[in-house]
Amino acid sequence: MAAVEERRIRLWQGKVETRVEISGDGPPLMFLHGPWGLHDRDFLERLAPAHRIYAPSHPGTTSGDPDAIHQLDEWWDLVVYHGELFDRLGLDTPPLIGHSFGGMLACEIAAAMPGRVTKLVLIDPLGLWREDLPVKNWMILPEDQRRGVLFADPAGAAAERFFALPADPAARVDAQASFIWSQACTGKFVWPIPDKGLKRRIHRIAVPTLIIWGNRDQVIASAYANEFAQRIAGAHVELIDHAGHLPHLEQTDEVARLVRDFLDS
Amino acid sequence: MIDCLSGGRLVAGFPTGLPTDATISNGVVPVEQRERYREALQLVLKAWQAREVFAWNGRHYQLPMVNLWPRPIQQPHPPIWIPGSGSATTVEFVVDRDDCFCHLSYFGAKNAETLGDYYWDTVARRGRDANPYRLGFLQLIGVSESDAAAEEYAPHVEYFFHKLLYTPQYYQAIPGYQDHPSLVRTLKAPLRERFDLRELKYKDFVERGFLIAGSAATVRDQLIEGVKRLRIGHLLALLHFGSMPHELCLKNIDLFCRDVLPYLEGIWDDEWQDRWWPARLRVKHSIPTAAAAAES
Repeated sequence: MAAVEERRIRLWQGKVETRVEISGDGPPLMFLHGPWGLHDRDFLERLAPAHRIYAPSHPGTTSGDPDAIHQLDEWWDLVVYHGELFDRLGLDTPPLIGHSFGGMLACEIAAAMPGRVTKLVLIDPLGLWREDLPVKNWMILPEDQRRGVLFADPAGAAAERFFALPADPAARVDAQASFIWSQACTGKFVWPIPDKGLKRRIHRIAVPTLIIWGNRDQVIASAYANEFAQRIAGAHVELIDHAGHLPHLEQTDEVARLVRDFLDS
Repeated sequence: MIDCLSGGRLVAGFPTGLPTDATISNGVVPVEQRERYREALQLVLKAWQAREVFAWNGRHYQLPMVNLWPRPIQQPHPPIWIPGSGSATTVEFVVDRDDCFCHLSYFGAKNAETLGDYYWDTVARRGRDANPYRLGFLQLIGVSESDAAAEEYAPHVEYFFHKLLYTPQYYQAIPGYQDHPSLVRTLKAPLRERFDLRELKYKDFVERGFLIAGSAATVRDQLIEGVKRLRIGHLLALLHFGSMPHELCLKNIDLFCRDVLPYLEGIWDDEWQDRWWPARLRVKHSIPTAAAAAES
């Protein structure tokens, strides 16, 4: 396993502590996680041989500073905050990879600051809305349906790892709290409907874009892949079989290969 | 307005709101619900008391000219009661504000000891007095001619808990509804026990104390025990619940007021003054003597 460096930086006039996992070697890229926190290490590890990966935790989800979420109120705050994060990490124009909520965030950053992103990878991103295919509210799910909604194979190894809890009682509480609080902090920007105006801004995205979608995504139907592709000039779509809302966890090798090829091209 | 119509007899309740109401039905952002509620409370309090028009530049509300009319009769404002059912953060907030904490457990005095103890510990820790009137408690009550006859309340209490109060558990656990300290606390050792309400029947509701039901003597004994154990100054007697018909409701109120209430009213009066009740409604009570009880 590649070495992972943890860096903690204070942003936003010292009011928001942000943990960034840094790994790999090569030209930099940034990964933005989904609503449940950073569960994407297996996937990132496959990109690490050729890239220096920066994976920040969303504001409020860094352990020890849960109230940081109250320092940012709206999308404009969040986009400006990420400009500051780029600056502090010394990233001029990195490629951005975003999953789900992170995909929506990557779109907003690329639309607001077209000069600061060179390539975009969107994995089952939030951000658009179709009346005939409403996005499922992942924050209102009974426990016995969570696996089936998020994963194509609810009993598979990826689902097992995603929902696994430590045996140690204290570590277990930490993991549960982190899983719930991450949804609370990301949910702040998308509740109750994850359609917050990206449709009016998405035309500003002007970089090569790869859209990856799990064919059996039950949170955001894969038909949304074309909704994004129609609005981003030159975007390329790849649908992944046997994968739900987290295709990079269920079909890690295939998604990693597609992303590597796209970044190298 | 109600304070004016009632000649200064309003108790103002300010519930934070359940996730089902606030976030699911009305779209309030879960992680903002609490701070938004607190700002709204500040705004109402200022509006009640301001003598001049003012501008409100809040985080969640911006109003150019706040100009309330009519202003309340009670000065500086009506007493404030804030309900809670299991959040440590709400308990702390209410104690710090010195308002009345109104425990809406719905599960009865017997199941309220963990939160009750936490409440009084917080009161002591934060330097407030042990005045029982700072605590309100809601209790379902059914009074009948005898313990056996109280079974007439069975279908109605079951209707109440199985249909009216029931919401799926995950509706109550929307991420962000609890702030981070309360979330961690709930995961470690919850202040409130969870029940599968649809599994319980009348007998269980009575045995577990969700409903205090029986003859006046039975109800009286159990209520006095609960009131003293939890130091309840304000008992919210829920005498109409579920599918209860009008006649049964009248009977319950009548029996309760005649044969139970007089034994509860004066429990704390000799020691404490009720600062959380409209001044016009404050009266001194005395508990009936055993001899008077035997006569009636």
